[in-house]
Amino acid sequence: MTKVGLIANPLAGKDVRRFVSAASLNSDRSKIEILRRCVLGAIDAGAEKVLLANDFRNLALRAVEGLNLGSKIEEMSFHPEGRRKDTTEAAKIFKKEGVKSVISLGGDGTQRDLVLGWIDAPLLPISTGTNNVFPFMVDPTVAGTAAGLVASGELVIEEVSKQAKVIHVDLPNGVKDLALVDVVLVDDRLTGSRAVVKPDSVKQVLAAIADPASIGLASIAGRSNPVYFNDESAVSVICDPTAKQGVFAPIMPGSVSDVGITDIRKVELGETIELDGPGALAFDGERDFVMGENEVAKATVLRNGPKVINPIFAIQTAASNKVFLRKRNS
Amino acid sequence: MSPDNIFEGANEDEESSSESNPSERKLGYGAAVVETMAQIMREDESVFLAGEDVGAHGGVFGYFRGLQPEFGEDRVVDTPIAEQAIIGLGIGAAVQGLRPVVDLMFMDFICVAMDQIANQAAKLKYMFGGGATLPLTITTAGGAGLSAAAQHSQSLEAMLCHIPGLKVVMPSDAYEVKGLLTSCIREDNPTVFIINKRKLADTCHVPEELFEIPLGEGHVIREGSDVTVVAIGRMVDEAKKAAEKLSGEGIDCELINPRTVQPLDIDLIVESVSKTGHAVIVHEAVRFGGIGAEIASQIQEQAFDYLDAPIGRVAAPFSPIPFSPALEKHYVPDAERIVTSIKNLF
Amino acid sequence: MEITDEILIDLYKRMVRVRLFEEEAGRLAESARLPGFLHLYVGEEAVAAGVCGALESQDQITSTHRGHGHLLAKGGDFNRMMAELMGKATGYCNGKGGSMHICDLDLAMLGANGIVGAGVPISVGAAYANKLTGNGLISVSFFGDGATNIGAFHEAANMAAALSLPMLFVCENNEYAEYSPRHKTMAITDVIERAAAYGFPGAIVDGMDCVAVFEAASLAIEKIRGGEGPMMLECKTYRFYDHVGVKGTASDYRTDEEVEEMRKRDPLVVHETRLIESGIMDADSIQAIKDDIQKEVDISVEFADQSPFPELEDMLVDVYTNGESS
Repeated sequence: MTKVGLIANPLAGKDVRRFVSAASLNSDRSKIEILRRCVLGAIDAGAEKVLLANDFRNLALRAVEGLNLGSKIEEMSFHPEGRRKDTTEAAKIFKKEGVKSVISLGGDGTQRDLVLGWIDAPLLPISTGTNNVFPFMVDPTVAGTAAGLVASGELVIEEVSKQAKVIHVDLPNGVKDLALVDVVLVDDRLTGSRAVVKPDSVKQVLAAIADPASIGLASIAGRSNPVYFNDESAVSVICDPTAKQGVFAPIMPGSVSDVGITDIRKVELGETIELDGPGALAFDGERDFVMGENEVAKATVLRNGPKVINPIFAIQTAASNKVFLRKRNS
Repeated sequence: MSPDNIFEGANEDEESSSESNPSERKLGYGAAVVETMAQIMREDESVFLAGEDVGAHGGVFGYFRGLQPEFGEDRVVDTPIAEQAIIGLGIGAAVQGLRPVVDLMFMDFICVAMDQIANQAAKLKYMFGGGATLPLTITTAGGAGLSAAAQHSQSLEAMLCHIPGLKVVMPSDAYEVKGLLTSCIREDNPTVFIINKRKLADTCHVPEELFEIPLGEGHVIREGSDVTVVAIGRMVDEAKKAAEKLSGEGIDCELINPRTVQPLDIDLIVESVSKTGHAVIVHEAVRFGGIGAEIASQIQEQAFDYLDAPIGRVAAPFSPIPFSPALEKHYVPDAERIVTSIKNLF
Repeated sequence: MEITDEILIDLYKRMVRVRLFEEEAGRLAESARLPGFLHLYVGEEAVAAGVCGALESQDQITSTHRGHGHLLAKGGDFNRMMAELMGKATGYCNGKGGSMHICDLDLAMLGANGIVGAGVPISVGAAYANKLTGNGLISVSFFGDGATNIGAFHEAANMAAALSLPMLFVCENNEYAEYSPRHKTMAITDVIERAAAYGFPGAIVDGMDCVAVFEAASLAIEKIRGGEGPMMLECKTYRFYDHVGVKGTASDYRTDEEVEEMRKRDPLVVHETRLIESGIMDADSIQAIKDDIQKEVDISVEFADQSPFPELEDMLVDVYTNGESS
């Protein structure tokens, strides 16, 4: 069975950064429209089934209303609770069901939640979040087509994807966590409203992807010492508001800050980096764990993450392979 | 600003309800609204006006024209078409100590805003144990006679009078517009000030300076011995004509204009009926459940022994207001119907 | 802004004040000692505490039928509140308003409201007064998810945006409009989308976490006070008891499992855990706060019990300012 998994995070693109920056609101309606285009693209490309992860807004189910796709649509039997772990749980089910590709709508945080449930998922991430370093900005019809071609076997996943780096973090309480873009230590003892909005609070940035053209905390590293998706390394930046050197970085959409930095260094894959408490750790932009005095988190970057399908490259490959040329009757 | 020329084409010079000297200054009914607003806004910075089209356009009837150029957009606010929010705007600002005047273009639109008027503005003080003060004035255009049909012509004062906490004011001429509007804005309770849209061009003597007519005090327009005629709002004009006609036929009318219908100066009415023994009540609103029913009831409670005949009521029939002039002219009470009603008592 | 220990403890006290008062009111209602309807705020404390904790004392708020929490979190007086709930002359409204009309104008609390959504236009008016007088204050309206289906909300949101007023819209989205689940009564799930429709920003925050609410509210308030126009904060929260009364489970409109799941996120417990884990307080000092506040609550019951009912002649008092009714 050639199955495409499809999931959307209803809460992506709705946090407090809309108060303090020019971040856009990503409405349910716009997500429904994106999902619908993904479904149609995937089925048109030959996917036999699209497995919809139900979310607590029923975005996915509403997206296929009236399409009369019958048995081509399968609803996941899973009860979402409106929390982050919904995405993680759904990813586990995708894996168990053996879907051949997963389209995931959200920002960096959403993709992280998904990877927590299926680390090497065949993933086509679409940006509907606030910070979107990891996911693609691409027309969803094209994304659906690419995912459908991978699922149907028209495209070989290894040829149109590359495995992503993952920042693996051992927390002082023994829990293992991860991030796809950045792990950031901030001078805070609260997770509060989660998003990091105070540039002066940033103490250390460890970024697996540090693109100077991206938005978010990783841009601090990206504009100091770029590291791209394909580079076999990461970067660590030590920040200090009193530093003599600074970097202009857009830590939120439309919000460029002068962040003081004292040290920038390359981090090899497999190398262990220590993040020393006290402070709060933000994973892909969201404060998620508070460390006390003398507590240390240990981070290692490995290239063992999701196989990220590049939709543009996939479509171009398919066109070169004449996949879209079909015989017509009469 | 020259408010006194914006309602040119006044069709009649009428006598003011006050003792007046014909050589004194005359002003139109609509122009009196602008003049009063402007004078009050000059003397009291806490007064502001908000409503649909009251600013740049000066109100759909023009009786706020010239205010925005003088007082600016913050004190003469063009609001969205949002009657509930307009009243809410007034309530919230009034509780904060300002003296808002908020305009509901047509009286019919109070129905759209009724929660904010009846459940909020009217009751806040009482519900809050007296703590809140609401110096809020709601202006609105009522009355029929312009073929404005069923949703732009009503006289809904009885609905408002039924709600404890509101004061309901119905000026019958330009003099009363000035005196009553001044009182409303200076009043510490929510008031509804009903501007009769057929009266806008009518002129009478109006003093230059601001003055107050107390709310709750009626006015004896014409003394008489045979019948008490209580006329409300524009019906005062029709009742005057009827009284003139009847005086030639030997019936001497005492004409009372309550000016405010909540509070109602029932003492003045009862005193008059005790003298005349007859009463007729005239209003534009429909007869059933109209304010006339309340007045008649109170008269019989307090002056039953003086009555020589049943109390008459002249009011609109129980139908929505028809559009066609052919129907509407029969819908709204006029002098002729008042004459007939009074004659029926004798 | 720096969230100090004092702020964290203050937020906790605000929540405990609401919780203990409400639980007491619930017990009194069960034993038929409170007349009328009682809409308990239990479960939603983080919202009132977080928002009111971020306000200046004279910033105005309007509230809802579930309004005790807002006034208490803004510093309302237990005695006057309890007396009002019992319909006593010493109550906030001299016994004439009751639970649904609790107000304290000295605290710039412009009233709970028995009409769903009706407080929102009134907040627009207060915000307008702030703008006109340049007093630097902002106006806050608390309302539920259900209220955003009412015309008054939409008129107010549009007007606040059109006039660029200093106003914070706080949606307490507890997922139920009385007894009807949100998904049956609206085709969107996040009320901030309605803010976007009227042209102002909104953000969602965890309404079961007072620190998250406080931080988010502070960020918005700073911008609003700075003249950026209205904003909306949507707090995802939950009502532990039913729409009215003290029953919370065995209901026909939501499952006990759901209630139990949400009770695990009890905003008081969430914050207590944080205070203890961060070493700001210990179990004893937390208990001491609860004991002190419970004593105040007990005193308020006694005060209310011993207070007189209004006199019959008070019936017609305060219908009008400076005047009598008949």
